[in-house]
Amino acid sequence: MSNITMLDLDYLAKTKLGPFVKKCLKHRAPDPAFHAIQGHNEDLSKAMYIAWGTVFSTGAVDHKLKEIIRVQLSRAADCNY
Amino acid sequence: MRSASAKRDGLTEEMIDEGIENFRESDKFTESEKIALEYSELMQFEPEKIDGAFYARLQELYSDEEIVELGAFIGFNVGYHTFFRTLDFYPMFSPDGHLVSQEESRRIYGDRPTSHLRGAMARATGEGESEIESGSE
Amino acid sequence: MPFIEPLPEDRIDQAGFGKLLKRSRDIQAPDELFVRILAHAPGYAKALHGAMHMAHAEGNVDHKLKEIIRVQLSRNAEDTYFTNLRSEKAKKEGLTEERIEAGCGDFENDPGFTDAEKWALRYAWLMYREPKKLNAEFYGEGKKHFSEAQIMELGGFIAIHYGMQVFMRTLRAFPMHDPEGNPISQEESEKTYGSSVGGRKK
Repeated sequence: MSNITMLDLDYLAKTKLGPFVKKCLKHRAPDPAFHAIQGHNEDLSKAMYIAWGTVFSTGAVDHKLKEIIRVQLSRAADCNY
Repeated sequence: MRSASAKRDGLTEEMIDEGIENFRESDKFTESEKIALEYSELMQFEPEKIDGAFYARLQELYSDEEIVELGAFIGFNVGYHTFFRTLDFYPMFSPDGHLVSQEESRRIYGDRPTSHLRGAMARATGEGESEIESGSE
Repeated sequence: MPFIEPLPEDRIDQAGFGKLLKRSRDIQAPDELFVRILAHAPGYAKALHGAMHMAHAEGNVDHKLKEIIRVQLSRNAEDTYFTNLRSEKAKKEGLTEERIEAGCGDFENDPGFTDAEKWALRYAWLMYREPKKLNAEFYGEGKKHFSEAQIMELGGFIAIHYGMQVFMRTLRAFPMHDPEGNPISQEESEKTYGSSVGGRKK
């Protein structure tokens, strides 16, 4: 069980995070657990999602290279998410 | 968690593992990809080694725009992965693309993040033998 | 100069950048150097600064507490830039340099901090030093003092600020103003603040 309650996706779908949860369900990165755990603060979760999406999915650097780096750093931090 | 668009672009789990475990010796990565992976590794473990000489090497292969993009991306991940680790939660998607409970996700992915080739995919699909990795790679 | 130089303001043509500059100039943590460096990558300054500013200056956790945490984190990250910046908003709310030093030092034994504040300071202290200690028991203790929303506000704030501090550390940047608020060059700033990340030079 996570150390902070994960919010139900059906509940989040009805909040301002709804469109972002939908994107997570479609693209799977970030996985929708991103909003389930951060959705306690809707505005902040949205801002972090936008920040994350910008650094991960936009720009001139190849996305596949960024994905390798992302997984590399998650293993270094022992992050199961 | 894995990026669906990276997969669609052809990124395989083998390439991810190669990039993490063997990029320096690998012939599958270009010089610019290798230095980007080195940049990431150093920022996580030895940021003091990212000095003027290192940035000069980066600037031979990348524009300032690309370096800032990489640096900010790496920094964001360095900050966030440690935070997320402390929350002890798992992806909602299994490696084969199904929504699963946290208990099921923990069972599939194991106690520590490792390559999906080392059991997670087999545990997700229930196919073949799988070794349950518990903290060892 | 930092290893990546900030773009001159007249070379930045990105939607919403004027607002970013104003926000940076108002709070000074970070100051505009940060957004002008990020401006090399279109859209990055707005997205990252937007999240950082919201986590730092807004929300339901006291801004002064978050400012102490921000400085504490930057010393752990050994970043000369963020460690020497001070939030104008926190100053206006009464945060003093002495209080910042107390929060970066032996806060556990300081009667000037409440149990809730000590938990938050401990959270930041341990996150990148001993993250394994941030377990269920630790979070359980936190929930006696803060709501889950507040804990996630703190955690997200810590994560994004530390991450940017780690990046900025590698660039060897310094604030654009001296402690009195006068604009100075990077060379003067390095002389003013010094290369170490201990307490701010007076």
